[in-house]
Amino acid sequence: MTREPIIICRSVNKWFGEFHVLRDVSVDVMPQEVVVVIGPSGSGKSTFIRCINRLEVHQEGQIIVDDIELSHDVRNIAAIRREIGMVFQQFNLFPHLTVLQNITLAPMNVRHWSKDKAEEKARELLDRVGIPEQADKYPGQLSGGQQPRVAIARALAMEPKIMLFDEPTSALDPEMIKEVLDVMKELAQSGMTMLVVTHEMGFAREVADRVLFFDMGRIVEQGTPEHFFENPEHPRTKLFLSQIL
Amino acid sequence: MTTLSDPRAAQPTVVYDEPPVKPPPALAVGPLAWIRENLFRSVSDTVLTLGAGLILIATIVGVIGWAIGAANWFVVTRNMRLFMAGTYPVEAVWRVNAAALLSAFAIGFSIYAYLRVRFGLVVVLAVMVALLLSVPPLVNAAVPPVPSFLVAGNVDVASGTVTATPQTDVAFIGRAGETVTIGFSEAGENDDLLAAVAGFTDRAAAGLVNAANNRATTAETITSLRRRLESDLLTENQRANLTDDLDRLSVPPPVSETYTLNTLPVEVQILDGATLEPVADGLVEPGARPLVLQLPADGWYVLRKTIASESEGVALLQATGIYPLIERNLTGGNEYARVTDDFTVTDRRPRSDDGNVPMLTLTDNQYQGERTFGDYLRLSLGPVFELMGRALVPMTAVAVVGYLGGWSLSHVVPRSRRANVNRETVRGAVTWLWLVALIWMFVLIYGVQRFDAASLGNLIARFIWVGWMFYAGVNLNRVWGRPLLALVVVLGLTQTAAAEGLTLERFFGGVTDALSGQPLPNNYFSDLMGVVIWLIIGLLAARQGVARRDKYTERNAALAAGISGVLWLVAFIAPPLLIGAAVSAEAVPEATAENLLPLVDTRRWGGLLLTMALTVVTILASFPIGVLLALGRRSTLPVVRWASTVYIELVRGVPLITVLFLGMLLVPLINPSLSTVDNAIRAMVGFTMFSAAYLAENVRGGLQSIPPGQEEAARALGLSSVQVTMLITLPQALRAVIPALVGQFISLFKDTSLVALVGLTDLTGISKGVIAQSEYVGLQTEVYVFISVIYFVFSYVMAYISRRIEASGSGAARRL
Repeated sequence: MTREPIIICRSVNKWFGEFHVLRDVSVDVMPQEVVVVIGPSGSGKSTFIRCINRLEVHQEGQIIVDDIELSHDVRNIAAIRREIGMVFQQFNLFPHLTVLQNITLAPMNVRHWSKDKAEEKARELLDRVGIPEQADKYPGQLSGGQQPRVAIARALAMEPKIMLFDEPTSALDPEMIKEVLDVMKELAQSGMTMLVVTHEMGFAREVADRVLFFDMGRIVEQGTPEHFFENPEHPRTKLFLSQIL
Repeated sequence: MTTLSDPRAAQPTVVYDEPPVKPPPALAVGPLAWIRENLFRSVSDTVLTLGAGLILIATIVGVIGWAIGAANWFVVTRNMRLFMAGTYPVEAVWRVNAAALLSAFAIGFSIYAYLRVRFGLVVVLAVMVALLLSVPPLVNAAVPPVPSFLVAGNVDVASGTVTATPQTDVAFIGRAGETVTIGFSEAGENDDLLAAVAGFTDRAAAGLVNAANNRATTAETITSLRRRLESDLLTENQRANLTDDLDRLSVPPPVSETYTLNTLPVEVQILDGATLEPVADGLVEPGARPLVLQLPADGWYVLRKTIASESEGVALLQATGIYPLIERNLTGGNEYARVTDDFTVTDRRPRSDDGNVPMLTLTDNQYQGERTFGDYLRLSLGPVFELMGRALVPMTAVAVVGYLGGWSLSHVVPRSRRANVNRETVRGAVTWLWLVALIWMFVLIYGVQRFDAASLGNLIARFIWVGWMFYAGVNLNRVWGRPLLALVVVLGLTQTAAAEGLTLERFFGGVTDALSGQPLPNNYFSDLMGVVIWLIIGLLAARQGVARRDKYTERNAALAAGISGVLWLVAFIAPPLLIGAAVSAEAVPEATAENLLPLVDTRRWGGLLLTMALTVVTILASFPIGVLLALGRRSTLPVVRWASTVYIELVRGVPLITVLFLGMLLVPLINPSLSTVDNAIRAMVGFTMFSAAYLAENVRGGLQSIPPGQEEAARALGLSSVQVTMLITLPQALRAVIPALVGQFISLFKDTSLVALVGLTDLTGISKGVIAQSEYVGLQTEVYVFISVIYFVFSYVMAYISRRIEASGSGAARRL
């Protein structure tokens, strides 16, 4: 089955002031592919996935998502963001809204769904992430493992084609990490296109179709999990893996 | 050295048996523990507790003692209307009352929506209402009325250097059916009784009392001097001085003898105030029964008391039913109020051939003597309760009605799946209710150009029409939905246009005028705007209907349409008929019927009314401006940011009173046409400008406290920047700064008292006016305590609401 890539990045460059964060990053992501991005801190992996829904603006190169090129055109950005869901490291749930309102907010205000339809969808998603009974609580009342699941449900409520995960488990204690990874695995198996920044090598090995290794703002090595974990080639990759495994 | 008990050497242990769950020791829980823990934990705590407690008790006892024993509250009770509404026209004060009742209704409704009413509160309210209703009649029944002491006679009464001539004629006011009694006072028997007189005394009677008191004091001084002279320890010099002093003093003959008090008969007449014809007369003699009269009608009377012969004597008369008066000068004429119960007469005061008959003014008839507890009840507590009852009982009743209104709304609106949805519906209605209530309060208090029966009907009909638009919106998807909407729009347009006097001919005439560049006819634009605004309101309602069409079943929508159709007809027919009937029954003057709510000059606004108007208008106006300024100051557009910053910093750098003076004095100089703007409105603008700048800084603080991740998450979900602000950052920012905002609103509420300095009569301004009157000399404390209580009550309510809002919703979650 050959299809067009859903995300196309060509020679993407970005600077924070003088600092060159992304250097000639080129990568394509196919529909339903699960791509895991790993790399040391400050290597630009978060910046990279934030460029994909234009939370960060790249300064050179081309990013095309779902056949729409990211540019300063506000309509394009809005259209792209409707199709991309994102889960943040700190989850960034809206503390002044209940779980249900967190999830229905975007479908009602961006997709203009009726309240009933949005709530129905929200309850279905809460079922799927395994916390249907938390609908009327506020984020402050949730446990650490429940918050990322709400964040995932919130992103999924927009029925996105692509999901971005920016280190969703790094703020959790070990018992809760598994709960979240299970939800993500289930999502990957359902055929969602996913771009995941993570330090969970187990997850990468088990779920990823492809692993990207970032260092100093460029993709140093990429390949299947088997290739990556069994025979890494680049010395930087070897060093990194030897330090964390 | 290692011992057997060294834990480092111990074997690993596992505990399988669970220790039993025990109740805490007696001194760890309960009131005793609380006292121990909080009051007397250590010696220093005990000392502090006792010390602070003593100070607290002493203060409370002192304040209550003063309030009951010494304070003279009639300055408050007799000027309540001034304190509440200033010089708002008396005949229109009902509009202020109606506005207050409207807010009471909205408050009751909001309480149902947001608060759980505890049983205790209901009991407290019931007790309060029962007390307010029962205390005044009980006091009146149980305590004899305060006596008035009046002197009749032909000689002047002298005490010290002051002499007073007994008045022959004195005018007073009374109600139909009230009993007036006049007889000789027992206090005239001897000087001891005279010195102990307590009641309203006219100048001559006060002279008698003072003379008796002086005589008693002189007698005491002489006794004490004699006692000192008996001592052996005095030097010659001292003895000589004391003897001199003693020689200079002599006890005058008893007052009752000097003036041959209460020996001669007095002829007493009560005359009708208008005609000066006697209503009753009689000869009051020592030992005889007093003259008793039931007054035939409300209004003025004159008491004429003469000692028949030319003899040198005076009589001290004691009267009930005759009380001092306060004269109030109002723009519409003078009014006269009785100090004991605020019975008010606006008729002209009695006049004889010699000019105005002297009246029983409060200045000349102050309360003399040590006030008895009965008189305190009668003069202070009774009137205070009565006044509070007059205000609070109807407000409470209306608030209860509002509460029940909320309850019934929650039971009428179709139930959704979740149980708490109904209360949510009521909460949604609260905003709209307050909006409508505020508009109506403004209309009531400000008045309108023209408001007769027909326009009242028109207005009601328009509100009903808005309901129809909603109904048409709900049913827009049906086959007949669009024709129905069109029909309702045409109906509404026709009706509104007819009400505004905008015929087709006039409309097209205006259009051609505008196209050919000629000036528009008079009022053309405002009439057109009236129609357009109503059309917009109707379309908004229809849109709401479309959005909620799933919620309303066909049956209850049809029912609503049917009922509103009937109401629509009633709205047109009923008001003119009712008002016509009222006019023909002479219940309402014709002028009132022509304009139910004539404009009231804002210069006549005053008291609490003005304070509240300034506060509410300023809060409502400065809030959006302040939020916009805060957003502007954080804008990424430099020009917007600079403009906002300059405004905020400029206004914050100027004292509030300066802003007010600028508004009052400078504005007319800048542009003379602005001098026609009322002072009250200029003050509102000044306060709004000032408040908005501070509000902006508070809101900016809140905006800065929101983590950037919130905005990122919202943007990642596809929300537009306006949506991000309105739905995510602003709600959180405002919630974070509720304490600061409410603090600012509270200080704004109190700062409105500064308008007293620029000549407006708000609560503080009117107090200054009241104190300046001669009747109330020396009663500043009572007035300022009273207005402090009012300021405190409102500020506390604001603080309470703020705490409730903080603790609601996600605030409750955050505190977990």
